[in-house]
Amino acid sequence: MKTLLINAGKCIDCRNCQTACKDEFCDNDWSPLAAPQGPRQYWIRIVNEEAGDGDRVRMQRVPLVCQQCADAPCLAAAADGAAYRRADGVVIFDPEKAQGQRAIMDACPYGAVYWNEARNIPQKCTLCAHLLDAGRQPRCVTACPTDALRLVDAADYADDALLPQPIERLRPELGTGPRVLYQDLPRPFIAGETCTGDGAAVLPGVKVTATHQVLGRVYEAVTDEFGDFSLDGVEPGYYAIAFEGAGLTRKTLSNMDAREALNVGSVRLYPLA
Amino acid sequence: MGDPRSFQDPSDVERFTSCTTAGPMFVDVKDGKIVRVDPISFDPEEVDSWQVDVNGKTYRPPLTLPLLPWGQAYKAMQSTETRVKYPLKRRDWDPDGERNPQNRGITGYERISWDEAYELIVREMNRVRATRGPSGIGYCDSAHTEWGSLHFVFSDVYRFWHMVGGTFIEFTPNSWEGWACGAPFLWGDWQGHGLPAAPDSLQDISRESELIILWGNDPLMHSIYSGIDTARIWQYWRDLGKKIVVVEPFLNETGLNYADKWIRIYPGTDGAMAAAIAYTWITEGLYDQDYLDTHAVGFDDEHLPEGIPAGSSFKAYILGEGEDGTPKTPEWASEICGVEPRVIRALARQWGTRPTSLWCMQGGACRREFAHEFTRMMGTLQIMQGLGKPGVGVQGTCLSISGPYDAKNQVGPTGYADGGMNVVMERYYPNPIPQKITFQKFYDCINDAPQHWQGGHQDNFSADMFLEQMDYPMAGCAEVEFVWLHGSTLTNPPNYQHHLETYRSPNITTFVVTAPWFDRDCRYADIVLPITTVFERQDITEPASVGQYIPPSYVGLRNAIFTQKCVEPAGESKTDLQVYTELAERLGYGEYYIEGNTEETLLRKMYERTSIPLTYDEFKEKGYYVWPQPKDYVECKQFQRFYEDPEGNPLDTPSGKAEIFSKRLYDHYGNHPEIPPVPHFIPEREGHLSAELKEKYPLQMLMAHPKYRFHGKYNDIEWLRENYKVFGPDGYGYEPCWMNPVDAEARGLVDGDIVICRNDRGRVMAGVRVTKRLIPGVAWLSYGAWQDPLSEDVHSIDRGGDGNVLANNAPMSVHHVGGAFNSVLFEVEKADLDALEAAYPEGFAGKYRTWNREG
Repeated sequence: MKTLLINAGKCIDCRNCQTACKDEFCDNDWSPLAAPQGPRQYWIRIVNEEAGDGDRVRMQRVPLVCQQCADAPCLAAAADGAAYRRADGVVIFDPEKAQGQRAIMDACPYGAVYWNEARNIPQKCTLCAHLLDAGRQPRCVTACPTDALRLVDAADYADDALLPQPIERLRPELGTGPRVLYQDLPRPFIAGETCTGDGAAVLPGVKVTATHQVLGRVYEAVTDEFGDFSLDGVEPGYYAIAFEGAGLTRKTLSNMDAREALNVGSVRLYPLA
Repeated sequence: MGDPRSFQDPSDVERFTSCTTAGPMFVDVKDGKIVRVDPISFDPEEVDSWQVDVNGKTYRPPLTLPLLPWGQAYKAMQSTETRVKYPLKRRDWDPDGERNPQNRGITGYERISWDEAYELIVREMNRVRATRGPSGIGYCDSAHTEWGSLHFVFSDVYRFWHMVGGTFIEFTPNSWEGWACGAPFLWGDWQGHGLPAAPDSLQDISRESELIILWGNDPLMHSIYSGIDTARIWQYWRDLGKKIVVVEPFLNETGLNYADKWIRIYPGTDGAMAAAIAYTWITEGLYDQDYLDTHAVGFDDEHLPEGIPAGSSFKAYILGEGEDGTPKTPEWASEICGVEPRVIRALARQWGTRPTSLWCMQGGACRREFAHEFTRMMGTLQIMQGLGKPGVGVQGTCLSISGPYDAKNQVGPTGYADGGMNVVMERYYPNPIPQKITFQKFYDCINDAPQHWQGGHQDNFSADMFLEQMDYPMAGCAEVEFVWLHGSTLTNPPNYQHHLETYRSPNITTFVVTAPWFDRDCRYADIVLPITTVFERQDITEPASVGQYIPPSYVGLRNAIFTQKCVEPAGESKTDLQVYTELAERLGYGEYYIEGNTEETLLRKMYERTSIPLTYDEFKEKGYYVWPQPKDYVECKQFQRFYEDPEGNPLDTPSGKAEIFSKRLYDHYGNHPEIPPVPHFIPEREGHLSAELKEKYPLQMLMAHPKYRFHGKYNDIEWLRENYKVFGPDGYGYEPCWMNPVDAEARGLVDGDIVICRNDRGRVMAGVRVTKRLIPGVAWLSYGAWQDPLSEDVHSIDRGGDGNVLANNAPMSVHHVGGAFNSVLFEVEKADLDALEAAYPEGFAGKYRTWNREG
């Protein structure tokens, strides 16, 4: 089964995927796989969320697309076989049979299905099934300038032990068995800088240890030449963050709220007495 | 993969090739209609690729060439409602009676035939030529046509106007204004407008640079003219472990995706921080004194030109031993630029001990008051670090990243700067009219002649040319009364409404615009001629053909594209070449313009000059060609030869060395406070330190490029608009004004609010977007949104939200007539939409908007 492998961390929000999708589906009729795409639909859409604060800000991006779920709620909600799964795993809405079936759209917990007012039908990503059938790639994949989107064989990714980044699923807790594969999905980070007590100089080489106060999970970093540190991809929660450097008094910040990304700002460290 | 052209599409399309400013593309057509545009993709079988290998990691240029965001929307561009399909005449413009210039931008248009249009234009041209001579006609090209060798400004447009003669309404290199007027005094390179080419920079940075500093630079989103594989290159550098630091008021896209560190700085204060970096290096010995001794003039008092008193050097200025007596310490700089002294020192120490690639060219920091100081200061910093050394270079947002390039594999010489079709014609015509109007003096020249200025040329081939005083009208020339715009905008004028006001001047009797779309300045024209898009004509070019202007500036598989005619012209639109051919004939020039050629014969002749080993017909049929990688290639990076042997490879400066102290500036200006002989930090008149003006207009305006629009192009394309416009409760798509939560909260604003942005130059409406990507005190309103004035008054509120309405049209300094665009203070406040709609019902209904042809 073919599916998308989306590396969220590589997305630069150029939206070439979204625009290529419109180029392919607006004004073009690929029935019975897809009727022309209605306006203000985003079969692939980039969700942008700013994280962090001050001068430690990041943009966390997730390309959101139909997840071709194993237990697809849209399939369950469809009457008269208006939604079906092809042999290659792609879920398709029949433009004729799906007429008036808003339940198909409402069933999707990802918000990946749109309503076409003019045609009175639900619409969504077909993984460019008409192009797959012609031996081609989906448009979003060939339009992507960062390799954030790839079409892969799901079987090749069943075991991610050897991959540089583990395979994730988008919101698996929804329980629909999403089949689109993700890497590098956004997670909180803890960042900041260390400097001398008078603030005159940055402190490189300080060991920073953040300990999750419930799970006990430990993340470590050493400050760089700006005195900066960044602990990426931490488990959300409250942390105790310890700072230790040669000749410096150890300092610990407790109950630091990293349920979302956290900029602890400037941490002043004093020489050992 | 197989040949990508042979794929069987379910809809059985015909596949064409095209090359746009947004990149090359395949265009699939069925029944005369575009089905899709796809990034061009080469067959691996036909490609002999180069690659860069460093530390076991490889960069290989992609087989599928990425498109810029608007390029992917070109199908919509082709058929947008704003296409001009027929020649149009303003209804109440009557060359035999009332011309009603005061109604430009107000009254609507009527369709006329091509024959009528030609007849009107020829009559008007002959009238002006008889009464004033050819200099009474002014012509201007828009900066942003599609890439081509034949259908390009330096080709068909210049040939015509040079043949008939006219006053060139020129624009400046406003993408890098401060570099063009400052850097050549430091390191020469007049031909490149102060931007030294950077051959082999990809290899050099990948192999040698340890630190990459993006100073006011966002190459990821602004590699507009390079059309290159930017994202993968930055990912490659990141994978190689380069430290990447951004110094900017705005955490830009390259910074968001690839940087380790964002140093927030107030706009226009860069020179202070740069001076403090120099201070740190000098006091801590972190620079290359030996290099300075042999390669530079004026770094220290020991190396000043003869007769210059001690205390005049850069080092003396930095240490406070010069006139101002102020040491440029990080503490001093911090008060100005807002960056902690410890951070300035930390950056200086890393930079001073590691080969560093400094990305500072182009970018917003060079389009400000006194920006020539910023550019000379940035250059001086890299000269202190031994510019030309492995890993030490200067780069910019575009045109300065290059892979292997042997100067053979290109379409040229019929390219950007080489005259296009003129190269293959029997006769060549230099323009007999020496008079010019720089676009930044357009208002003054038309309304208030005589005028005098310095700087403001599109090209400067020497310092003398730059420093020459321009007069308008020039001796022996007349004032311009007929204006011809090739393209719908006279570039991107600051203080746009005052510029538009000029179009209503009775001193302009005839105003012609030729354009594919009824956008921007079209609305003020008397005659509008419909021009074909790139999909409706043929050409030969290279992606990022501007690379032939700075030839090495392309990274990727060197390739040539045959721009095939994909669809028939919309309505009655014609190519500029057709228009000029017909006009030349009717003006009595006979065959002098076209010399019996057609588009096809010209392309054949131009093709003969390329190094493509296919026949013309083969190339035209196939649509592209990829050159093999250069054989026995020897690298030679930017300033490498100068670095190795400054005597044998002098710079194009009077001394042949890097002139940190410019004797030329000193001879011309003396110790002028606005352009001293060594670079200084000079506070802006309208900037972060303007305490008095800030009481009224407390925010600094950032004017970074729009992300989903090409300058002022494609503001109407819905597929792009929905990415960035802020849709108000009235359903209107407002231009975004981005601001920090601190500034929004202080004004009681939340994301999505509709606001009025204002200063003494004008008022525009916008929609608030709250972001932490901006330093507090700075808000980002981009430029290029189409004018939508609420009333007949050109100075009325612009609902379209063009930042250029507020932008600064003051001179940069005594040294340069313009280029201070980004030194802007303004205020943002919530708009009362109901009250505005009640006050301007017609304006809200769109009566005066740019794209309304009905009036």
